[in-house]
Amino acid sequence: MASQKTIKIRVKRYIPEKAEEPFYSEYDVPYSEDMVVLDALNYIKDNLDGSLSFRWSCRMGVCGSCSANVDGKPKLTCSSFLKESKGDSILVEPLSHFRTIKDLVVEIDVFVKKLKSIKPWIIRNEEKPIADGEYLQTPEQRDLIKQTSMCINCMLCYEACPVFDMDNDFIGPAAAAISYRSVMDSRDDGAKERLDILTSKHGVWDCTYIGECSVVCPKAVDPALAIQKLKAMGGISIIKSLLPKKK
Amino acid sequence: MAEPDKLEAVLWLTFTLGGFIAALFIPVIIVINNLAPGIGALSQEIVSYDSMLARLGPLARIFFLIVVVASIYHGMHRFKFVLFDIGLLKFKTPIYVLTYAIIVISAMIAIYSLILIPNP
Repeated sequence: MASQKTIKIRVKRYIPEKAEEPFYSEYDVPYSEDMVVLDALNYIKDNLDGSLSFRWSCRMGVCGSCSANVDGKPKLTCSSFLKESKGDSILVEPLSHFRTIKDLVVEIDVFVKKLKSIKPWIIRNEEKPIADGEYLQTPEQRDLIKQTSMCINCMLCYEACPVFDMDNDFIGPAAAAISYRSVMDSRDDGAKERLDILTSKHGVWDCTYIGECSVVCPKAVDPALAIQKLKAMGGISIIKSLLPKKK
Repeated sequence: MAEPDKLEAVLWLTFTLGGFIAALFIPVIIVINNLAPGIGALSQEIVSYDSMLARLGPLARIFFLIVVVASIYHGMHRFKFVLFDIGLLKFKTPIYVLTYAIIVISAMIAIYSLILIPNP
């Protein structure tokens, strides 16, 4: 019987109760063409080292929990196939723009706070009675928000964003893209409220349009474009507010 | 309640306007001044300094002033972002002062030059 092919998985570990500094652990994992990095991590957890910590849930690129740097690039580990690796080993590291709690698990409070600040829900001036039915949209209205609706909050865009790396207060790509989705939603009346937040000091202005957020997005959302559109919408809204009002 | 940053909005909108003006007019100026005479589509005489000077009325001066200042503004705003991208965001205030000072000085030089150029 032919021996099982294996691949080396190198994981950046951080166990604060054991060592102050992060360190790397290497594991030989059975390899098959259909395996993704998350499968390898789960193999390690189940068979080699139960202390390895990482987040995951859906295994199908929907929940956005399993984000990590795979060979130095921000990716969902559930969507990164082992066969895509060019070398004979794969390096898995936690997202570096967030504080590491343990191994590949990072503190997400910074992102959640941003998400909460932009009120990612439908804001209505007046709610209609449930008996009146749903708030309907035409296919054209839906198309306006379809792309940004795909965001799964995986934070890979924040990992790719050099501005967020330097300034954690920056609203960042995902929160901006989700805001854009709400601002453009035909059912929503909160555009002004959101644009005020997005055009404030820590809003969208610091985006330098590098566009890496859009490159790394696993759901093909284009946060860089959403930010530029928000800058234009917010800017025009501010200029209008500075003009004398008609009596 | 978050307050909109009105200054940033004005700076960014001016940047986009500058980019629009630069992208629209600079290629036209390059074609008229350089490419067209080079390929024989315009005679060298028409684009000579004296000939252009003869056409440099007040409107043309304002046009060139707008094109020059808008292009420099656009370029410096972008340059500011390049400096942030290479890791200098912590020097935000000095970078703002430096880039906008260059814009103001360039605008003053442009105005002075256009006033200095003699009328036809």
